Amino acid sequence: MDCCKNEETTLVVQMFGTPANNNLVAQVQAAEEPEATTSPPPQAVREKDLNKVLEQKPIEGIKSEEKQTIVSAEAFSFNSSFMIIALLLFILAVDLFVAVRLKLVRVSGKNLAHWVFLGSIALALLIVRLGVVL
Amino acid sequence: MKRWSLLKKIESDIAHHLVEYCLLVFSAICYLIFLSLFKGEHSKQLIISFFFVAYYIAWGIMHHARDQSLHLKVVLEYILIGALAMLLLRSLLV
Repeated sequence: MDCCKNEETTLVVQMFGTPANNNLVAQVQAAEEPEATTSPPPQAVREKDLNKVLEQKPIEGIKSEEKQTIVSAEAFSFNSSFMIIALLLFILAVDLFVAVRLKLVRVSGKNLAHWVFLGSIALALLIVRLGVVL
Repeated sequence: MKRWSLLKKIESDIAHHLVEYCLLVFSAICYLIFLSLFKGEHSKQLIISFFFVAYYIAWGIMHHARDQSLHLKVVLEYILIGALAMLLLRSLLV
């Protein structure tokens, strides 16, 4: 590091790294400001404030990652699809039951065919969900 | 008594259109077999699903045409159920 002696240097990390947390700087500055009016803060106090904020931030980050892993989009999609099909099958069963009970003569599709079709779609969803083990 | 009448109606419906229902069940089994054959290949599974849904709509139209009960409402019913199934499958396959 002899080359950098008495020369103004720029850290590469500082140059290319994206500012990950602008709030961090703002919080540190906010922590500094009240003291700045009275007396300039020593270096030890600055580091203390920075460490305090750094200690808080990773915990928040971990929490957000945990939240992301709890709800899987694919699982949600599968469950909601399955529930919709189950609801449709139930409605079709009730529809047929009421129509037979009240002896209604109506123009409608065949419920049995709908059951077969929706049942096969439910099985298809299961097959698709199982996927493949590579 | 009511339950018996419900079962009787279903039985008579199957007996009247035995070949057509057998065709539908057979095609559903074929669809599931093809789906498991192409496990992991989502684009192919989506194409197979599309053909099955199209077959189901065509089956419904043919069935009601033979039964002389074909109506626009009935066609729409089959199309809507088919579209809903396709939408649900698409949400998982894409």
